[in-house]
Amino acid sequence: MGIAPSHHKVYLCGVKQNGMTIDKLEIGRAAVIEKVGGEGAVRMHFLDMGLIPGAVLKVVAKAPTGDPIQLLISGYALTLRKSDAADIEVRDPLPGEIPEESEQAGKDVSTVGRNTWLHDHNAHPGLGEGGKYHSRDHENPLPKGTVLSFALAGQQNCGKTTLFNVLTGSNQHVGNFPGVTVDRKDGVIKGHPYTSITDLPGIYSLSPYTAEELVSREFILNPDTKGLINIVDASNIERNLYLTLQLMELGVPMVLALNMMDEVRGNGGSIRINEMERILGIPVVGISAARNEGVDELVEHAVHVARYQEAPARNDFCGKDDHGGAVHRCLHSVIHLIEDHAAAAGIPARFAATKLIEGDDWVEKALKLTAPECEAIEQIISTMEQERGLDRTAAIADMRYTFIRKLCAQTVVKPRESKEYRRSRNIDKVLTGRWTAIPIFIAIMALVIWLTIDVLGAPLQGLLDSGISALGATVGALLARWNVSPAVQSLVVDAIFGGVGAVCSFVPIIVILFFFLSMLEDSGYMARVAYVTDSFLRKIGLSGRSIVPLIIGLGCSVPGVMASRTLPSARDRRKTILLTPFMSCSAKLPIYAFLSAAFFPGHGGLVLVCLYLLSICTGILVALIGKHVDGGSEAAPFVMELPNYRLPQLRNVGHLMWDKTKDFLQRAFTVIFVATLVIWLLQSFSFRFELVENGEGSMLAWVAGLLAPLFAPLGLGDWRIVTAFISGFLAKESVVATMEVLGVLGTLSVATAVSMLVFSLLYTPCVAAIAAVKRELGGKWALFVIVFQCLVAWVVSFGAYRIALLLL
Amino acid sequence: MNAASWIILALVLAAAAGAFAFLVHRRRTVGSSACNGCALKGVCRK
Repeated sequence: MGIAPSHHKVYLCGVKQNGMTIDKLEIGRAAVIEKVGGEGAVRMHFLDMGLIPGAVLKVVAKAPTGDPIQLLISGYALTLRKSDAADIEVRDPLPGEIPEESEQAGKDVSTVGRNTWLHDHNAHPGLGEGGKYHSRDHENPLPKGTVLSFALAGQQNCGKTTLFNVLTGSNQHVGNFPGVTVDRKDGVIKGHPYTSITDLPGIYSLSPYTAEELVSREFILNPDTKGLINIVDASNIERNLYLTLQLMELGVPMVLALNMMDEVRGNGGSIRINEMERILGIPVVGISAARNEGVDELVEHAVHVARYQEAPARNDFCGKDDHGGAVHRCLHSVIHLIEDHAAAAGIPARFAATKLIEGDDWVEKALKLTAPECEAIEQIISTMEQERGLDRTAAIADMRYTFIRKLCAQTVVKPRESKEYRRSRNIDKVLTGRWTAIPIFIAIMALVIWLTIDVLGAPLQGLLDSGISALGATVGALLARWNVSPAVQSLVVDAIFGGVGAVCSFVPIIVILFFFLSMLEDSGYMARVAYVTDSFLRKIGLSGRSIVPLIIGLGCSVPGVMASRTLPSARDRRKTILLTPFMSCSAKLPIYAFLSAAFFPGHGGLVLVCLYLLSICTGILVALIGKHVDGGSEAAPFVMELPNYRLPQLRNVGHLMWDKTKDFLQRAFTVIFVATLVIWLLQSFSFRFELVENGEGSMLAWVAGLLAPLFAPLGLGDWRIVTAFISGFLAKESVVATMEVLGVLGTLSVATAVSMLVFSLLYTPCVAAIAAVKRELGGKWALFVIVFQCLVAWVVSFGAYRIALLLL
Repeated sequence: MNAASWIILALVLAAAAGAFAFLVHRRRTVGSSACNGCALKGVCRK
């Protein structure tokens, strides 16, 4: 017998049929949460995001179709679907329940009523400090030379990667989208060679809601992790501290970095840092990661607590007088009951107890409790639920938020409504407006494609291509003068300059596309796109959050597939992963540009728009079929934070462009170079290793010839075309290189060019993307993607070829 | 084939070997290309 999962307890939190719920609130109306319905992980996420009984919220906007809804809660914007909002019962606020926006701004917190339960003086606590503050009584320093491994943890979009870059001098890409996916790396803190820091993914809590949360807590609990740097967004401190309290329960030495303090001060707020440090029992440092302020002090404290293994002085957040002390008694009873199991499992008892009460399966399994123990714990929890009047998960969330509210009442002068938020609201009136949102989204995407291909990309690509061709011709002439053998001349001129050189000339197009995508992401627009498109995507069984992996897939399928990890539902993740390769990645751009220039000169942009529309339509069709196969089950809830708009930082955009250029060139001179040489070898020699003319009779001609009949109905039955497709499986950029080497253009007509464009658009993604799919969904799904996409590509290409034959 | 042909062929093959070695090295040190762009890179032990 196990501990009952929290969703079995909805009898205490069920929503009254005739009660007022969030979905019924009009724009501009404020309300107080009475009860939170729903069940399981989704409900837990509501609670983690601050949607707890007693919280005040205001509906600020609705998406163009009226769904999802945008709420303002605890000073930040949260989006919620109407169907999910219908699970949360609210009531009208009582007089004085809604704090005036500027009521506390500039007010000295010393005048705010003190809670004697918390400490009541403001002497410097000196936690995590050396010198006169360092007490040698309880010190337990790690042996000299031990590498101090830190985990950098924080909620999404709180400036974590910015801090990581400042700490390590690294150049990781920073986004402005909750859960933006970028490479996370280990680094050494500058000036501290015996340290390493790992940038953990952004998480809202340590509940097992997403893969990131599970992985993060396992990483922190690993004995190799010697310290923790918890970064919080000080301008949204209440919700951010929710994670802090859970991290403190882990008992790992940690420091708290209050980021964006400059923004807080600029908007009339302030934080009594010493008092907060004293109450929390961990070092607290105010910083501005973007301005590199306070970071040195943060590092000093972090190194100190890790070296001397100074665990948080407090890990108990339940007041014995809070709401009759039901939660306090329950928690401490459970802690005592499981202490031995927790020690054996290597999990801090306090953390294990709270997670057990919340119904965390992972912790329950790890503790290996006996049936009578489970029964006793269940009895304790049930008693607490009845006494507290809340179900277990809500009671624990409320306990944490009660502590946070008390802490903030003593230490935080809330800033006024920030100018960044006001500015975002004004911009949103247009960008997410009822009649303007979708046309603007389509216009922006079309503009990005047009600018990338026609305006900026094509001229630069042409320039680079001329340069590479001229260099190839010069080298060819030089080789001829030195009487180099024709085979070696062909190797250098056709394979290297013709193949790799042709691919390199497309660098500008790729870089420009990523420039625009990173600008959109960095500005905060991507999150709005998810918000605006949610209701449309739901019709095909996806979530608004799926739009981000899909749009990233326009750049590259690999990060697109990986970005799906931010989706909380396994079902949504699988569907998004399967659809992402249908989004035409930037590596295919050279194919489109190459064929468009040859067969549709001057209409490259139009061809591209048609291809993108075709890929999107095919994706939608596949999604609809998938929805039908799935039995039309509903998509997972859409609960997402909307970050404020900000001007894209040129440094970030520059880093991303440099990374992409480097990555592309690395691929060109490694994978594509080797693949081109192999293809040249196979197409230049017969099985008797004799040099052949124009590839006829070559090894490659024989292999590709076996597959060619399959492509004959598409008008692509030539072995050279099949070879180009095969090379595209290694890397899409290789298709153009192979076409150049084998002289494929001469074998195509306008109709077959259309067929080839469509097949290239839709057939199997490259091996790296397949590897990413395999990693996420397993080998069977990876194989399915290869076969399924080739099949879809064949069918659509066949149709396009027949239509082209009729029309052209 | 004259000496120049052999030298150029050797150079191209050396470059190919270098590219292949680089790919193997990167695979060992950075991990699979499937991890590019993943938020859990360096964290997960999958």
